Amino acid sequence: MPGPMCSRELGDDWVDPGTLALTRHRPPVPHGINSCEDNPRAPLTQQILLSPVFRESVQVTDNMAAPMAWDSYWRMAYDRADKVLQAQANELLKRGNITKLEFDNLVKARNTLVEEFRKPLSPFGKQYSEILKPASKLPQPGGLLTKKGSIEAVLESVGKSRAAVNRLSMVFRVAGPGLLVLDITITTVVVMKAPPEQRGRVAAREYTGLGAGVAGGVGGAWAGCVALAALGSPTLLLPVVGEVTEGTLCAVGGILGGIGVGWVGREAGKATGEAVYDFVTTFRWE
Amino acid sequence: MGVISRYFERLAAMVRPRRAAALPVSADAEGLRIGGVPVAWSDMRRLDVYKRDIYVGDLLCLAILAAEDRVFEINEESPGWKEAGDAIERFLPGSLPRVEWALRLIAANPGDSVAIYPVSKTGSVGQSL
Repeated sequence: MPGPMCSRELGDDWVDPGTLALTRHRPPVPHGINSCEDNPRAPLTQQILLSPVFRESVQVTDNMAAPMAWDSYWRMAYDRADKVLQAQANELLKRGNITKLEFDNLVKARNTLVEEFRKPLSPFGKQYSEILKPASKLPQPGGLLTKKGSIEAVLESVGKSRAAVNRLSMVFRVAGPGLLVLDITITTVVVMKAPPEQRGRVAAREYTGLGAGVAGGVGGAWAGCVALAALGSPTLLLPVVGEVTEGTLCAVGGILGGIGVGWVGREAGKATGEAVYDFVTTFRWE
Repeated sequence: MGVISRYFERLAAMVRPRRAAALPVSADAEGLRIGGVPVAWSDMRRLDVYKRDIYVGDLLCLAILAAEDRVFEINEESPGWKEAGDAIERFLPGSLPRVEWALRLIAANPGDSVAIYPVSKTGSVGQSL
């Protein structure tokens, strides 16, 4: 369907060559946009139709995924560094004759590696690490170890835990950066689509919302992790859903908390950004 | 009310910087004492060390299968971890030397384990310590 025929553009130039009556039309544009304006909006933002549902979905998930992706990349970096240590240990084992200094240095390097790589983690990452550590266990009546009754069960659970954490980490490593880029792109489109006189205000609202949303996601992931992991005691959860480990509950709580508090943070950030913009632009020294 | 108060106790314990101090382990000629519970050398059936995945990093752990199918687990954060390793080597004939199992464990992937007692001797690492 052709676009509008703008009355002020009728004339010799707008009659198709070789015809008597045909007139040229502007290209089609989305409903509600007047393409006959002297200064039409930028073509890129005019042509982008942004579904509010899609926008909200991306923003809500990015609030939670961005901080978790950060931790996942640190996990990957640790694994790479650990491979170097593994290779060194293998070399020493092959060589067979190990000095005390070599052994002590390797152990020290390994301990430093673990310590240093945990420093930059988000609060959720640190808490999750702490929860995955078992408190030293004694066999107690009704305790998990006594029920399992064998070392094989313990070793098997260690392997399963590793596989589960690997999957979780992989998901966030792939989804996190993609969602962040999409979120920034969508936020920029929203700002560019705003009328020129409103653009500054919309930019303040949207970009502050993005920052506050991610910050909310960081805090919410930690809060959700501890809130749910505290239910992990068999005495608290067994009657309802059976045996669930603290680590699983922490991960699920982290995702839910990151989404929930992240959303609240984004909305609060939007309101704050707008209020600050209004204050700054209307403030006058008396 | 009991469940709710237990929940808040657990929540408070998690929010603390270090949620649970690892149980101390000590050793003498009789055996290990893990958190006050004695485990005689003669009661030890099987010992394995392994790396627990802790999201970013790993934790070295030791599982002990003792008489009556009791299973104990201590880790490198337990006070006395190193001394316990030395004592196992000294008082448990047939176990891997500490340096060797520690090296094998560092060389292992997280989630993998190394049997330190009993072991089928296929040649151990020489040490010049």
